[in-house]
Amino acid sequence: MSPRAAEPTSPPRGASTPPEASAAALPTRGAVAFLTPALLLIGVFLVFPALWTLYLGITDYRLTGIQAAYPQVIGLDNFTSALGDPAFANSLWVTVLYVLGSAVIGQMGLGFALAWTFRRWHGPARSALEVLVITAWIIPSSVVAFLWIAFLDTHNGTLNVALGNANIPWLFSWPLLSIIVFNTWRGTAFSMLLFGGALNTVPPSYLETARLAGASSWQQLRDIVLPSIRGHILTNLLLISLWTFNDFSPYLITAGGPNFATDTLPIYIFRNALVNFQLGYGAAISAILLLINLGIALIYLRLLRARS
Amino acid sequence: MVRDHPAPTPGPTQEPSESALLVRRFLSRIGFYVFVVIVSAFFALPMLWLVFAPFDAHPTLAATPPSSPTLANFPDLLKDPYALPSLVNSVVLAAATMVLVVAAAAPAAYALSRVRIPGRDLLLYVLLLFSSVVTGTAAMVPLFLLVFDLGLINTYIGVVLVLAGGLTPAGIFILKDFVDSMPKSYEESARVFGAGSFQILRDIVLPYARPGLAVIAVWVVVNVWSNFLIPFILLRDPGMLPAAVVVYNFYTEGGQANLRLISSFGLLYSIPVVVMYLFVNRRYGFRFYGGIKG
Amino acid sequence: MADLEIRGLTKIFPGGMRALDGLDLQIKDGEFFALLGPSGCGKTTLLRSIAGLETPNSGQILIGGRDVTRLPPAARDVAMVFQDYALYPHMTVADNIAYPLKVRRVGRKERRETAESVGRSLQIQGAMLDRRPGQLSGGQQQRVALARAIAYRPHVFLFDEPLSNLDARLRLEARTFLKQLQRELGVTTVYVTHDQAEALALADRMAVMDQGRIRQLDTPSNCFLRPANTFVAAFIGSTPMNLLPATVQDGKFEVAGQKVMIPETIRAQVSAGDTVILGVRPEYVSVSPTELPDSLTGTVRVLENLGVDSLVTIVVGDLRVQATVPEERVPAVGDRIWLAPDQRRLLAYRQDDGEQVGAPTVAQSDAPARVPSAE
Repeated sequence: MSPRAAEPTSPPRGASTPPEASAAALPTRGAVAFLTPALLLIGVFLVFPALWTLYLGITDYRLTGIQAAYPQVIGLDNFTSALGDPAFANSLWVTVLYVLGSAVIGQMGLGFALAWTFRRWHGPARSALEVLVITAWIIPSSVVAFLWIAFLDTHNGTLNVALGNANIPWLFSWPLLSIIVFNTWRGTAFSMLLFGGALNTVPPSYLETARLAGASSWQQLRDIVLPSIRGHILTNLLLISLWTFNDFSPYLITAGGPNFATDTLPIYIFRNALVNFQLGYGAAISAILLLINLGIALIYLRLLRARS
Repeated sequence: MVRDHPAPTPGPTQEPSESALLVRRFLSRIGFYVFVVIVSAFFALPMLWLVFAPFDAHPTLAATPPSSPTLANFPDLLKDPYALPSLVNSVVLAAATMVLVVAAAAPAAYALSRVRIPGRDLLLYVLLLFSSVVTGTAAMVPLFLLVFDLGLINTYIGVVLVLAGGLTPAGIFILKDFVDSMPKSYEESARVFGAGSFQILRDIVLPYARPGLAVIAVWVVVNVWSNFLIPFILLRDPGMLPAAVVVYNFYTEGGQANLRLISSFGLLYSIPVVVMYLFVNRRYGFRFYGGIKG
Repeated sequence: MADLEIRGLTKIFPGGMRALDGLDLQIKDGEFFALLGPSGCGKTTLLRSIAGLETPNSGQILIGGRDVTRLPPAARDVAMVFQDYALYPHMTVADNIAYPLKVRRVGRKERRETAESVGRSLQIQGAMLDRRPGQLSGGQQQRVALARAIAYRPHVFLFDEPLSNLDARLRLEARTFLKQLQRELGVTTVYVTHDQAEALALADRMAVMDQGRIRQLDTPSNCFLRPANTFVAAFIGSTPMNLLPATVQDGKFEVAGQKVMIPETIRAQVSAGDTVILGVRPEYVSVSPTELPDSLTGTVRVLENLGVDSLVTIVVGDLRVQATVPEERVPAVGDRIWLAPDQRRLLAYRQDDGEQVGAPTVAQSDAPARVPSAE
């Protein structure tokens, strides 16, 4: 934007103000007052706890006992014991699988497939399916959790009944797979909506040109559409990865079991910090989780900058 | 970027024969229908239980049409001391958080829209990312300790503050888009007429950005209504728990799960948010996610 | 009611662009004053500075003798009508008009009464008062914006191209309406426009601006008949003024190899060998099919019908000269004709800076002692 005062020759509506913020737009005093409530709220209840996590991770804080009154800084002991703890390693691994399976493959894949299918399909059937997918997202997670407990029940669950009374103990034999499918079901709507919007930004003429040149649907998709919406793909990937990493809802179905097979990091933290009350240790894991999230975000930013 | 259709056999390039094209089209139609049917079944089946079981006097875990249809499950909810009161609790929490978020986000969105601070957009984006990461889980421990130290454990104030803190960045982000679209001449003319910043916010900016306010109000309500973790770790008194936690308690309590209770309560609990979404979608279209695109 | 004075006003935008360059200006109480100029000349910046929406780097603004330079817009007692009218879409017309009063915390009943009385004077009444701006036509919206400014009872009205969003026919009607209204109200008015016909029609006095400076400050009539320099000469007038390079030789102007009389008023200011630019409007060039003394001659190349007259373009030597000719005497393309400029309307400009030769210097608003910039 140039700093020239915009004086139009054929004046469009209201195009007379220079682009830099004039003091008349909002005096600084007013702006600060307007920002304060939000900054206070966010600062105290969002930023501060995040930073405090890092501090707590290096203490031996507990809720009871002497460590509650006099928490000592114990350096990186929490971190080293965490990294050496096989339970932590298990939890980390479970979480990675959970994210890869339900977010990257499940939600993104299915969401994109739906958005792509919806491109040129309109009518009541499509609307009905769309509503179904979105409803799955809107229903509160505690209810969804139970719906899936019921659905996957060994003796009476709808899935087993539909498979001819197969009596397959899904939640006990394949718990991780079960929660992966559960989370895919729950979250696909977001990706579907986001990709739907993204596909709308691809000019139809691009695809027309390709089709006239003989490209198949698959080739159009691979060569034109995917590169065009790369930014959207990355953003979506980032958001749902972060959300899934921090997702607590598997707890509602399996509580981490059976035998820690679905013990994702949030559940692991919860159990250590708020059930066993090892707050310092729990904070350390949280800090690691935060750092992993930061890492993902940084990778995403780098990839995003690489495209522009 | 555009590639020629590869020749199926070596030699001069040839168009695929008409019958090959028809077969391909037929197969893709079949594939399309198969896909749609499977996906529809995938999404519909788990939900069906919520449609059938509440109206069945003897529901099972399977989603079958009611064997003994009845509406009696709903009045029976009144007998449970926690069911309906928890819905009221959810309403209170959702409403209070919504008010707080709007009150904090609206002036902030206005200020950020009109004042050009270097790095403002980056800051906003970082905050948004932050709020996606930090809400609840990763900061479970310090949030618990913070609320504990503030003496707000087992209070609604504590829960509302924590939830509002996590939702306000998104609120600002969404609302700022709406405020950006307001012509500067509106507030400049008001300023020349003597209006102060607060008057302008109240009389001109907020009415103009009403659709945005509606979007974040619904966004907050839906989020708070469904939020399990924060009330779960911050509230102790069973009478104060919102429906999100109470539903969970119903099916994890020892003994035989009362399916009539769970199904009818679950349905009652789910309907408001579903209705709210459909209503907002019809009126404004769910555009909030547009602001988050890369 | 107040007069307006600008002293040494300078505004430099980030990036170094000088929107206003040491401007001096005095506007009388009750005057309709136009700021005219092309895009980027600084007229809107000046208007906004008077309103208080821009802060100048140096200089002073005085309204009614009061120095308002450091005061916020609210304290200056000015009302501004924007190009897009800035009518608040969610308020009714009556609420829009009364908004300045609401800001002053005037009671609801009194606000309504004022809205009705002010509206009545602008033919905004009855059901229209309860409509939303979006339901009104462009002309109606414009009147509402005016009513709102009037309801504020300011000392100065500031208009930022208020007619440019109206279509051509409506614009002319609104122009007459505006002129009459200002006469009746008697409030000092500063009016920004890029349309020279509009400025000529409306203003009591006007300032023609270019690149942050005032090139001529005068009555419309003088700007039209005696533009102070080639910039103003070229900018003003629906038909472009003829600007012809000439040399002084043997007591006459030599133009394209031909000779033209030098007017009495200029004779003393030029000497033999001077090169000037002659300026004469097509309206003041008489045309004859037969030879005229001390005139130019050439062949008709283009005819343009302007309604009552026609605009004739004649090739004289290697120059093109235009003249307006009444309908009964229009020549044909290819005819040889003679042109005689009206001696009273013939102007001469220096070739180096475009300023006028001969006539006493018309009021220039950049004072010789320019205020040094604060940056």
